[in-house]
Amino acid sequence: MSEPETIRMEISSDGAFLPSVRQFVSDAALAAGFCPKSAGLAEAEANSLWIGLSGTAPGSLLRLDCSFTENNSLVLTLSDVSSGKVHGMRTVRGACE
Amino acid sequence: MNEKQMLLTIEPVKDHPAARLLRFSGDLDSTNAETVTATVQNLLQQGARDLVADFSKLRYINSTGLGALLFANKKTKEAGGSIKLAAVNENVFEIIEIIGANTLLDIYRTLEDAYAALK
Amino acid sequence: MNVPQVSLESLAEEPSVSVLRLSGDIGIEHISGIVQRVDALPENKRAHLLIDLSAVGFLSSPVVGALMGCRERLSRKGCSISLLSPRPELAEKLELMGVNLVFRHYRTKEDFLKDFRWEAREESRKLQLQIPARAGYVPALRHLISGLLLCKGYSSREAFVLESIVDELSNNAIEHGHPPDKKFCITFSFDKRHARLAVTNSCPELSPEEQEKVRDKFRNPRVESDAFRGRGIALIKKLSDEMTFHVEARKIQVVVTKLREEL
Repeated sequence: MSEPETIRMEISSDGAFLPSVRQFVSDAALAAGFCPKSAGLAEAEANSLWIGLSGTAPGSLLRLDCSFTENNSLVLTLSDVSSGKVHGMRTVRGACE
Repeated sequence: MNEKQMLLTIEPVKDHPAARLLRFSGDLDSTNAETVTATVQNLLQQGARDLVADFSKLRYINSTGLGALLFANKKTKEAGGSIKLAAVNENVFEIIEIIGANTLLDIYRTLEDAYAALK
Repeated sequence: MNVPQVSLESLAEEPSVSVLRLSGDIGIEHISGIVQRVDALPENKRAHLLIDLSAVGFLSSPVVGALMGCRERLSRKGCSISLLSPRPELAEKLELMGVNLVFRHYRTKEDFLKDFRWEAREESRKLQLQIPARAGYVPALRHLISGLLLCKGYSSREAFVLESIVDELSNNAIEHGHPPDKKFCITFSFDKRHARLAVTNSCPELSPEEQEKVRDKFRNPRVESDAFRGRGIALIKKLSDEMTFHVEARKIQVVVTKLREEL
């Protein structure tokens, strides 16, 4: 990966969306050049970020930033769109293919 | 490899030395359509004339992927052969039909039907 | 003061939902109280019944049978009945009895409310993505859209159509838009009845004539019969129920609406 890239996702906080969101993180990591193992780790970290949320209000929007950095890492940040409160952050190192 | 990427394998066709079976699986889209056109060109340069495309495991196609098939159609016809698509799923067929490519491409319900149509 | 073991009240957040609250050990002696309360629900209060099991220690099998009977009677009137928050041991027992196959069940009240508002209030779900303008990301994007739709009850065909639309629009934005900021934006909202997708990208400055050419491509997509490329817009138009576009000097937006066919 040559330059940093960020995917910003804002999504309704519906628990049913978790499988699709974590799959997206994995797919995006692969597209960014991560190896399958690192993409799998990214998926697991996205999962743990979301599952760690406690009782989000119905109708609320969550923001998930997926920042691919210059040193082949993915920084995942989950926050609440309206309050700005950061629910959690995870970093995954990606070995490039 | 991401399981939703496309996989393309090539096999000989029994009793048809100038034919090749192309097995597609996954999604044929803008990220891999060029692989298909390059593969077709290589096969034709190596002497293949007829191509049979097994689409039974092809889940998805977009307009760029379809463009690759139309390219294959044109190039095989120029070489005196053809490309035959077999076992196209409902969703993929709908895309082909909406674009109007079903009148340009030879499409068969089964692989056996496609083989039977080889000269 | 003893907490009543069987009570019926409206849900504060959604008054049209009635909550049958059970607490303690619920046995045969409570069946008549449960059935009377449920059967006596007025029409405007029985459309949705939520049985709160969060405070139940033991639920006898005859009570489960009585609840199944209530469900049967309510279902015939087009009403829904769901279970809320059984404790782990009770949840396991209910699963062994097959109750989870018959009743919708929710871990929390928030989960119930999200589902209820989706079904009964036709509340929409939203997704907005700012994504680098690289073709490699488009498969991830379209699989996400498809996954969101499938988990909210859209059929695989409906999801496939929206997947195709978002794929074509995204590739169009990348290949023809050449966004100078190297990204594009997807805004997607959907409810039980329809989906709306907008794809927006910046572009190198377009003169008024160039803007009109772009508009014309959207209005009248023309494809040569033996052309290998250029079919994306035509495909989007045919798959959509409505397609609108907005072309400015430095920005292009395409908005597509798709109504559900299989409700």
